Amino acid sequence: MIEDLRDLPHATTITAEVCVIGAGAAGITIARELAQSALSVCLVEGGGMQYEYLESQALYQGTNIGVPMSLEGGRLRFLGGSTNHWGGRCAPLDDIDFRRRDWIEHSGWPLDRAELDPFYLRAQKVAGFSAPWLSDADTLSRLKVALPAINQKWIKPFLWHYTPAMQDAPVWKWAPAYASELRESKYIRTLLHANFASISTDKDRSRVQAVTVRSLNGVTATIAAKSFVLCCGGIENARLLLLGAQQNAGGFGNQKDLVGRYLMQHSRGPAGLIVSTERMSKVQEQFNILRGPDGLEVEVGLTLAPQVQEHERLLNCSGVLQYQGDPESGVAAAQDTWRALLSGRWAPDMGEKVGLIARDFPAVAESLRHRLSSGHSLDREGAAGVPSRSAILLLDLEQAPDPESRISLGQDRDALGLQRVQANWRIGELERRTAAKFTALVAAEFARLGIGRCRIEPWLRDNRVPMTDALQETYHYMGTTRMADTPTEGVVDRNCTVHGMNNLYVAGSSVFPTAGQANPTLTIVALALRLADFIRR
Amino acid sequence: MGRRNCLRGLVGALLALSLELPLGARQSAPRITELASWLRLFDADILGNRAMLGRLGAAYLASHPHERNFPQLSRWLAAAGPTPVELHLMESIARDWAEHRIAVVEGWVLAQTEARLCAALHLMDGARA
Repeated sequence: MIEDLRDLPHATTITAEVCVIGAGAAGITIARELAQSALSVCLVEGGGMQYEYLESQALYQGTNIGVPMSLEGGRLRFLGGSTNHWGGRCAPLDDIDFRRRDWIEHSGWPLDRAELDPFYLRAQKVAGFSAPWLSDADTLSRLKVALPAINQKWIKPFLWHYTPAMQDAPVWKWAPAYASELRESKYIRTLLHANFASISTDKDRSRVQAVTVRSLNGVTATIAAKSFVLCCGGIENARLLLLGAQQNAGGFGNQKDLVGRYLMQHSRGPAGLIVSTERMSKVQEQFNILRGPDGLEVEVGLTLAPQVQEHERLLNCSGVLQYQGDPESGVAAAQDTWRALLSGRWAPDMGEKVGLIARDFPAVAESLRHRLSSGHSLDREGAAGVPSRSAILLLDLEQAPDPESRISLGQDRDALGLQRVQANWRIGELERRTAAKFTALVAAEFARLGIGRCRIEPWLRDNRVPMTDALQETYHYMGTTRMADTPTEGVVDRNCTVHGMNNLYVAGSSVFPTAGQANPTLTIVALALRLADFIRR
Repeated sequence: MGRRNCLRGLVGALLALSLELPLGARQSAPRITELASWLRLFDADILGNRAMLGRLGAAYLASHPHERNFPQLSRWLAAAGPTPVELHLMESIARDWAEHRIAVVEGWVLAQTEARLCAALHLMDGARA
């Protein structure tokens, strides 16, 4: 059932076997999994069924003293959490991401990729895929794509799968997808507008006894459970542990002052412009967002080969091509004409555009056929079939774990009287060096293969240019409650149990010790499934 | 200026300068003559016209001042051997890419051989000016 705390009697007591705090990708996954085992779950969500600024989202305000990041805009506080702006892009982390890399301080997961593989498989279904993914080779074959003979000693093709559940929508929100199941569930009691207020433990602070939640109009409820799982995202998980430690004079995994440290994001930015004297039609059919039968949608890009990462002592990194339309092509003229007609205008140079369309009619017809068969709208940027002579190489960069990159409790307080978060996100020079090497390797390979020539962006050839001139945050907040086998190195153990606590768990990207280059959602779900298995055992 | 005109200019200048070189350097002149046929294929469209190539050459030499030596550059570009210069340069550029011997000049990623060609062009222009 789904209830609103504001409608409950004040000071209600709720009992459940498991209390899950936060109803995003991790929280919904864990609640559903536990319910399948007939375990009673109280799923607590701070927001409502939809976006409400004053009633919920404003509680995410905070201060930032580091690299610019959006504490409010990057995460969403209502049922479904940040899946409400999830683009559906899925990929597992690479083998190397789990390894202890002696050239990256604080790297290494206490588990390896093979241990997570069965959960990645299950995560695909949770993320909306109706069938398990094919191998990369089979996927490319199904898409009828043959990639150029890239020297994979340096850079490797990489595939991201888009969830078919999106069905052409820009995002796939988990709340509409799973709301009816939550509403009808006998085992899940979902409580909306229930904001964390306090947490209480037993005397030796090793066991959580209850969590008290409060709505902004003052209604409270206390949830007593055997187990408690924090699923509030990479920033809020750390904040709640810090608040818990403060309210209980210690504990909550912060014995070694690690909670909130190692804040990481994937940084995204342009690395170079690939240009060609010829139209890049062939490359556009290879490195792009490609669609096949049965809802198969895949983005093909490139990553830095593991041996280069190791040899050059670099981070992980990936890149995709964003094609820039050729303004003198008939297809571009057709696009302009189409947009003009849609907006009820008659472009002044329509005659010239009609001439360009006539000149390039076969390409226009082919583009139209491609668009209609792929389902992409005519003005979707960067899709295959739009002739281009240039493309931006857009990077997603792993960030090195840095204990000084952190979130902590600020001085300001929110509407519930709790300290707001203060962020100090930092990016280091290793990220720049990684991006520069990857870009140079892509440039050399593209030149060798005759694809095009690359001009590298200023931030990758001059260390005086601030990286923040080019890089943007991705809202993938990670690392603040990192996983490690010992409390001296991490906040949670390999089973996501908070060190020093018997029944408090953390789920989400906050437990990632390192970030890899892949989007985190699939790994978040895989770890959530693994945690659910652990709790029900 | 089109690509071919630009390259013909580059080749012509190389040949003219080679005749003005001391005897030791002139020994590579026949190889430089062979260079001409390859240079017609040199894809400089993207990198712009002759002035642009010269500018890239100047920038390359600014960061590699020890290469500011035309006879030495000529020997590197048209090394003695049985392989025709055209083929030699094509192979040299292919090897540069394959072995990641690159130079980043004003942001452009060039094979080292290409960068030296630009440098030679810049030195020739300087000598003629």
